[in-house]
Amino acid sequence: MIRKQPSSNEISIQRELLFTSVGIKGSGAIRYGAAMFFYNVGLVNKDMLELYRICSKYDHENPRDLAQHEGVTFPNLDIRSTAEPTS
Amino acid sequence: MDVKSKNNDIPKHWDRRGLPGWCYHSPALLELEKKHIFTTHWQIACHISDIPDAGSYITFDLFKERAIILRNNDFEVLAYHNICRHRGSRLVIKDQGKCPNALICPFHGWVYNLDGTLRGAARPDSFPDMNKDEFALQPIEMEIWNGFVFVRFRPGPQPSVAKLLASFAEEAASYRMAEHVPTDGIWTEQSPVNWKSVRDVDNEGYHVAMAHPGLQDLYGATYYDTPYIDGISRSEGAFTPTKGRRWAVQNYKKFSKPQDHLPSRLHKSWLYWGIFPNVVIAATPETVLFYQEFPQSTGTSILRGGTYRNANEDRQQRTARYLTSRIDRETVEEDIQLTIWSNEAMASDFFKGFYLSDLEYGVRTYHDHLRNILPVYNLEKAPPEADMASLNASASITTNKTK
Repeated sequence: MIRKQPSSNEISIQRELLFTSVGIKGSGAIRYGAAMFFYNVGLVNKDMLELYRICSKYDHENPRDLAQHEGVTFPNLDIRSTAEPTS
Repeated sequence: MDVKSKNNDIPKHWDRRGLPGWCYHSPALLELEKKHIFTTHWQIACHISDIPDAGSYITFDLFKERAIILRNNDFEVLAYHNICRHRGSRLVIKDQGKCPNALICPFHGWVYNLDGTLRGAARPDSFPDMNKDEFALQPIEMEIWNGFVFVRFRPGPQPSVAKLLASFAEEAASYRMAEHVPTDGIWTEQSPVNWKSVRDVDNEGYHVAMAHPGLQDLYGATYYDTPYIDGISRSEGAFTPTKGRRWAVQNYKKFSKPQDHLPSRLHKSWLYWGIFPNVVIAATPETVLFYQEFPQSTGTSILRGGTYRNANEDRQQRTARYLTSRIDRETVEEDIQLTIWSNEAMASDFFKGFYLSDLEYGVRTYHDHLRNILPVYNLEKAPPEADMASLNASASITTNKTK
């Protein structure tokens, strides 16, 4: 995948979307779409992205819970606390 | 060009026949119609108010093709084939909805940005590097005219929508249709007739006095049609000065309250703009609406439409709009019955074909538009189904057009 550095504004928007509350209608797809964005900028790894994909049709399914259940380690899970990539 | 400046005169001697009956139940002809009449001509997919927000979408299927019309993050309206670039699955499966962040294929999970570019494939490690533009959604030709979103799946003989409908432009603009908002959403209904039987009824007002007591009470003898010329027609019914005898019409005439911006000449009229091959946009003092029909089989059609209102509608206008919908609903039911009667005639061995009134000249000119595209309509007797496409392509068919 060709990766381009997005603007800080776009990162901010996608961060909000990634942390859309579990349970909101359509939130699984919203989180997965945002996870793909962060995969492209290197802040979400492929295993984490896959868990977001698995949860994408289940709005009540928290990818973090699934990761714990499946024993998948989530590097950079809390993107809120990581440094933003320079644009 | 103004509609009135076109040559709307009915010739003294014209061929009053309609299309031969076999044209209404030939599967091979239907395939030609799908290919050369529907997918190559402009179709209304929706109104811009049906997709109000970034990520709002609506789908529009036409035979084996399918479109998605959506707004991107810049609120631009875009149209794409509703086909994932991976395995061709539908990207959205509902008729209408919202994808706030991205379009996600429900099959494997490929993710597309709202501008159509590929955000990423699911399990990206299983693919070589992919160019997001190379795997972008395929755009569909689209044009917005006074708020109505037209799409065309294949290039065709019509000019741009703006050029096609130029003679309606000034009149249509006065309704400020682009600022209208939906009333009840887009509706569809199956009708047990060939699609041309729907057009055959809708393209003439000769039947109004007999079949539509509500419309007769509303505008009666003032109603007139212009024939189909250059792919468009126009009809108008001005309210008669009587109070109205039927409950809905009587109260509609009492409560009808035009939008402030409408010129006075449109305060008491219903207008219908016909757009070849299957679309009508209608305007009343309170609403604008569209309706269209698509063949499902030789003997069934899908009717589809939507009604839109002034965003700042007051209580009186809402009342009038309700009454409009009552009159219109009755009219649609009456028309459906007429289409059934017209269509069943086409199956009879003993029906000798239309003999049209001057008041039905629009039916003839519409049929001439069809004949221009598919010469095989000129054959009086049904050709072998297997030969339909080749016969249509041959130049040996004698034309049967109105001079």
